[in-house]
Amino acid sequence: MSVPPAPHPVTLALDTATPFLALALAWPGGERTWREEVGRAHAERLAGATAELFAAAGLPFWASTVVIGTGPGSYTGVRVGASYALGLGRVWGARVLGVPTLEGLAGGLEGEVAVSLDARRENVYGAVYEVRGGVVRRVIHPPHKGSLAEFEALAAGRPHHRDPAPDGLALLRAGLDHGQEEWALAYL
Amino acid sequence: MNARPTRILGIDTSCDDTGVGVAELTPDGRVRVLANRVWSQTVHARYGGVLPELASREHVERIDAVTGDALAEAGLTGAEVDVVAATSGPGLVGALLVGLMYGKGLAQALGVPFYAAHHLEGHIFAAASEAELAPPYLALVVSGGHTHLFDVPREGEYVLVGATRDDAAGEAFDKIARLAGLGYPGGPAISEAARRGDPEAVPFKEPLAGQKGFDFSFSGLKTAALLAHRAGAKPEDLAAGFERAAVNFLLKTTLRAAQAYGRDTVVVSGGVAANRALREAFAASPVRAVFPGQGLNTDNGAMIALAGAAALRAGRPPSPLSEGAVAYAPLAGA
Repeated sequence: MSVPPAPHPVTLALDTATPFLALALAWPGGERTWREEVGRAHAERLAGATAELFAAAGLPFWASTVVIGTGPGSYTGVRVGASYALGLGRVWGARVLGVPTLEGLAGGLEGEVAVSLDARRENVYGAVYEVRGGVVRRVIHPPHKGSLAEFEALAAGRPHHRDPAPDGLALLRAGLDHGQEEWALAYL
Repeated sequence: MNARPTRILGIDTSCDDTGVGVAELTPDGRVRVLANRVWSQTVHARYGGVLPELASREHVERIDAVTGDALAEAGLTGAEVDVVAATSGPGLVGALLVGLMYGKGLAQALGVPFYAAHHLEGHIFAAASEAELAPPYLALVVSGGHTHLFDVPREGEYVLVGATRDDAAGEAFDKIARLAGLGYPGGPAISEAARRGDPEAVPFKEPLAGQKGFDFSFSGLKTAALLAHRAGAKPEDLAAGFERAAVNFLLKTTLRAAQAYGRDTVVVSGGVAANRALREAFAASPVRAVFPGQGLNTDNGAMIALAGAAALRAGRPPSPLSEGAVAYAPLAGA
């Protein structure tokens, strides 16, 4: 019943850690991205949105690599994406690579930037990256949860983007560049 | 119709067990369990109860390996799975979502139907591993989280006949085992200690004596155990007295319901159905008692595969992939 593997590498990326559902698909000759604000309804929307993305790209429902955002995020949100990706990966024979969600947040930026997600009570979960060509090339400060003031000090005057929307293609590119086979999920 | 059996993969991650099983449904409607793999999370034992966040975390870490083991046990490749079923409720939402989303991913990538299954329906259909289950029958589901008595007049139709007013039966076993210092989980611990104890040593009054309905209650037994423990009762005597009182109460209430509803078959399932004294009492009773096979009493994936088989056989349509997880999901109009 399984779809025969396509002759070319196809990569699917998905992030369910934030109130957005961010997806991207890349294949030789094309790429497609998709984002929707779903609040807490990731579990309800994810499978349908993924199918729509493949259909819109005109591709069979198959990928050789799945990249997931590993958080930080809400407990349930992060696990929804990871669990779904593992199910797809088993059938497709695809590897499931993890990348911190914060790298997807830095996607549209360039140069040395700080990105963070609100972790409540004046805390943020943030990282400082060097971004070139839409991919994190260097980790200046890895993802860390702490007070906003502490993080601002780490950012040291670099532009700080708080709670930007995730970019599926940035996550996808980061995954292909340096995604981890052994990943752990992080929570806000 | 398919000449070969339909293979159903079932997943249950509703609480602290990561369960994946495979069942087959033959074209003439018979079912058989091909595999049943459960990863029991031991991390909760040191807390004496289930921690939801730890449970969900372990499910994510184990689900794919447990699935691989179940497929190997069934002698199937993933591509030979025809239907996927996963529990969508009731249970811990964060834990449920892991199995539900993993199952959706499997089904969608395989291009096969997906069924969101009800956890209690899974427990009931666990007994289909041992005997042909044809309604009408009564179903007593007794576990650490549930104590429900259903009438099943027709396939897929459930009437709630009785339920616990306080603790679940298994919860009472756990609490009394902890009180008496017998360990966790309490079911096997009580059962083992009871064999060495005197059931007459500690008096336990029958709960809800004289009730017209078919409800259950275990708080009175718990209080009696606490008072006896404080008065210096021996742990094995406490275990023997409590076990006998709990078993008699479950049996008597169920038999009254069987008579009232005119049913001669009773399915007894859930973790407490593994209790030997309960099995012996039902086996010696006038009803035909059907229990799940070995390894199918406590939470597992094979019972969800069997529930999927029952849904297929009844011609129920598959679930949409937009199905979410629900903590509270009454099986019958409660």
